Amino acid sequence: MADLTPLNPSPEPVPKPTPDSTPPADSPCPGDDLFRRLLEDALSPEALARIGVHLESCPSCRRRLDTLAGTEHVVPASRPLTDVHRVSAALTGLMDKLRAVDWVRTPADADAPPPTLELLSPPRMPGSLGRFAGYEVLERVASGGMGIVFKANDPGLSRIVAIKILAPVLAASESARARFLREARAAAAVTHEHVVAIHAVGEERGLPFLVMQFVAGKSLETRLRHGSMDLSAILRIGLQTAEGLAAAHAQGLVHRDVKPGNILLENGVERVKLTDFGLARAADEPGVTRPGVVAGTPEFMSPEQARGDRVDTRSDLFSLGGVLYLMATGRSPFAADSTPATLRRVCEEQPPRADTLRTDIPEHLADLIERLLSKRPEDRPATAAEVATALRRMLRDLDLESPPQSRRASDKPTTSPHRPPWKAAFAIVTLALGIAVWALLYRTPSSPHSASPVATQAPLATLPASVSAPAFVVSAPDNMPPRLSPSLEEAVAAAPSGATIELRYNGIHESRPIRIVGKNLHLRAAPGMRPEVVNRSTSEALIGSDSTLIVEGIELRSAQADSDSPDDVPPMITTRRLLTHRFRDMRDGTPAPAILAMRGGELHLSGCRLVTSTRRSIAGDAIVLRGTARAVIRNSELYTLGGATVWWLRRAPGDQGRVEIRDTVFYSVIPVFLGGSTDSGCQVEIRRCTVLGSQLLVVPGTLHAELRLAESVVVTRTMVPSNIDNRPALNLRVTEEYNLFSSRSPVVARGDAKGFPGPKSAAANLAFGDRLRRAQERTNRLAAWQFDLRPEELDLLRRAGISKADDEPAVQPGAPINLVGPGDPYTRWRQTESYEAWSREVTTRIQSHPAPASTP
Amino acid sequence: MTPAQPTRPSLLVAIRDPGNDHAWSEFIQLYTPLVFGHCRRRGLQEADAADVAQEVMRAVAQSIRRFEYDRIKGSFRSWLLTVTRSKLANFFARESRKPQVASDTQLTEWAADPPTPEEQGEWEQEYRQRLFDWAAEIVQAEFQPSSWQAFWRTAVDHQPVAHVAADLGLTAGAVYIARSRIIARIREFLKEAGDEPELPRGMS
Repeated sequence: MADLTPLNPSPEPVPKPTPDSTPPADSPCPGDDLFRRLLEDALSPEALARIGVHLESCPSCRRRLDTLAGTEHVVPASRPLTDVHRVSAALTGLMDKLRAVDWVRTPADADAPPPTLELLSPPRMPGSLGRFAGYEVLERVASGGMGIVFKANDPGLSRIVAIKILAPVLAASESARARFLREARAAAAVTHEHVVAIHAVGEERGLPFLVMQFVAGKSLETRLRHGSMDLSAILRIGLQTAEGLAAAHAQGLVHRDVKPGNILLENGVERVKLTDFGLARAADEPGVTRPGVVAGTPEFMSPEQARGDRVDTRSDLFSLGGVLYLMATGRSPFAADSTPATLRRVCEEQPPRADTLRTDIPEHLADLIERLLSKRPEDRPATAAEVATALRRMLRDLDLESPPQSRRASDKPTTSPHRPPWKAAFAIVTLALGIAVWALLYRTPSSPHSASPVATQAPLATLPASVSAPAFVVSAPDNMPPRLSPSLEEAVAAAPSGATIELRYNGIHESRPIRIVGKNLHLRAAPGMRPEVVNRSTSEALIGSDSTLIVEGIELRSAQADSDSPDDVPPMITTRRLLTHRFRDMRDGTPAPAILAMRGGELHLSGCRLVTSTRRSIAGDAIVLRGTARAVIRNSELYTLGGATVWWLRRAPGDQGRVEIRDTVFYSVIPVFLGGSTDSGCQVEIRRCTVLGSQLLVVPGTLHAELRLAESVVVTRTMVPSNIDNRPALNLRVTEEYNLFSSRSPVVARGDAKGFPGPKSAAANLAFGDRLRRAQERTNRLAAWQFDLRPEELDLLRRAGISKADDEPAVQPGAPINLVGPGDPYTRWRQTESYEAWSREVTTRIQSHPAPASTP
Repeated sequence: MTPAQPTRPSLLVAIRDPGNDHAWSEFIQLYTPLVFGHCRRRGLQEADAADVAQEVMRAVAQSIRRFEYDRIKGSFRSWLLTVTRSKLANFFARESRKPQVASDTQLTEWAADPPTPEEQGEWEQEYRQRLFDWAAEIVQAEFQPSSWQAFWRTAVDHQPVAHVAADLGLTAGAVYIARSRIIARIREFLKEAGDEPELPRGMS
């Protein structure tokens, strides 16, 4: 049986071990003196061996030794925080940057705004940050010791360019400026597919700059952070870099700073584009950098460069060797803790051969790298062209010996040969979701101002032969003859409490805001139809109700949902209190109306789609509940990119809210926002949903909130169930079961957020979510959740009832996408038993519950 | 192997010397993961946490150079928490992808408020853990990898001794010995390093 010696012994004093108090051991207890000498490493191996044998059979001596070592005081009792401390590329990258870059100690004022904007004149183009030398600057791409890189528009040629401006601190030196310009002009002479083209070089207000081709993609440095590379990628990137260098060398140009950060990989094909030729020289300026500090990252410098000797093209070959070594082994050959140590290693040490660190590196490649990394330039290959030839040959050999299929398989970071069925199920759910969101976001905007109905999104199957004009049929339980109205507003006005209004049309009906006071209503799509209602107002909620409201099979949209400009939104109007849900967007102060606003009463939503905005910049909430309001949402889609999906607000002391969301997809900044104070509360249940958002639940203040989250797929940036200012939500209680999390940040149980999702599964969820996310980042596709599972993750799934071996998972988290939303999915959902049950229940509720007295 | 020399008590003085790369590097090594980890636990994703941590480290470095922190009463680590909170508040204010949620005023107030006892307790725990990790990172080089594994897996990861011993091909006794010796060494290192790098007196 495993040894379970407690490491943090209980507080009672540990008796000093004596032969009397210790059960019979093979030898007498060693005693404190011997232990102290043991801890000081002052014992012979023989003595240690004897004590070791004794310890195995003497628990009290083990405790004593732990006490003497100070275990209790030294080792943190628990490490609940370990997971976020683990080695992370972002952290190590940051530390490298902080160590390597001199800017930390530049005298710039920390509180002053970054110099970025000071460089620019006022913009002349929408979307521009400002102008620099006639270019409209769009965004800052990077900044570092050397200078700032902007993405900009070249108005003359209408093309996107990158502008690199020498850092003012360097530009202050006349000779640095001259060097920058000279090197940039020389580099401009190089035209090659693997070299970033330089369009122009100039000086503006004393700051030299160069205008380059804008490369959409990432640097090799970033690429390497995402995992190791397969051999063919190493050879290909190495080859293209060597070809680019060869072209520059042919012009007599030495790069001087060949490193992963200067090797750009174009999106898609990963075509190499070398950048920053010769620019390191501008920074290599006595008096600008401190003595002993070498500009740039020293890890890839050649020994002659590190020593400050004269360099030629062969110096770049050494650096190329370093880059190849890093690609092949994942290690930078000379990395050390400090710049001087690195430079020393560059000059003195020989790194282990690449093929000793990774088995699939062919001997030829390891040989080549070794030659490139020769300390003496004359021992290296003579030219970059020669290196390119060698790499090209290896690439061809590789193509010959392995069919492309198997190579591609080995490129993947996963090792599992096939996806288990449950993975496929997730992938399908997610893919479907991705498509739904994609379709919503990127479809051609339909004209919200057109008065005639236009069938835009109805699936073909549900479209009648000709598009009908909108018709609203009001029928009531008291056998009143059905009545036909041309507008929703009129139909609502005519309907008695308990009536059903059937929407008989496909396409869009524009409506003024509708206020339903003191009557229960049921709005429903006619069988096989897919009606939409668009809010004509941009300041008031589409439907406001204080009673019980049922909405089925309908798409409800804000007028500005497709708007391209927030300017379309008129100023806020504060007329009708009930309908005007006015929370201004924090950034631009635009009004943010809701789709449905409930003041008390109940809302039942099924087979609907609510869209407040397809733009993140427009805040608008889907459903706002006030006071005791209750909402039950089933089989719906809710997209509120700039706002909350469900927002519950306390209205009076003692208010209790309830929100149930099932089988639903929702996408918003904050899926659920609960606002109240200590004397109010709200219960939220989310079951079988697929949730995309920024922060799953926000509970500001101190209201009593309960969240039950089950069988859902949750993809959010963060899952901290707390206030925005990250004070713990004190009265929040969360239970969760059988969920899959993919969060960009850990699930954290804070304050009294008990059980979210429990101290034990928090770590598991975190690890799991993180691995999902990493897999997602690697493939850049939400659908491709291909990853290896670690035992604890498998265990998590097993406990969730999902077995890797079983064909049918017991629980399949996430919304059943083919039953979600209006149109066909709504028609299918109507044929299920759960719809029957739901329908019976809600029909009873509107017919048997009296509508509340009309509000003043 | 030469035992590593703790340099922390003098760190805050040493990093004022712009030529002292080693002190700067050590300062980064000790405090960056602390700030980064804190930001992560505040719900920031890695890239954002790295940005905020960078701002914090830059502000700290520059304030130290300008001797500004001397004005702050109390320990360096509580001052570091103050700086971190303020940068976090800036971050949340900037990050208005959470519109409608909290006004700038609330954030400013939060940043201006002194940390709550819970926050301080949490920070203290994070700080202790970072000290331990830091010491471990440094003294690790002094030990055989198998001894280190024996220590880490039993003392930190709380894995059963018998299991770890079998895994490493050691006797259980050897695991106990390795573990206690490494713990004693970490304790010694932390003792030499001092519990808290005191702010130098008389420098304001």
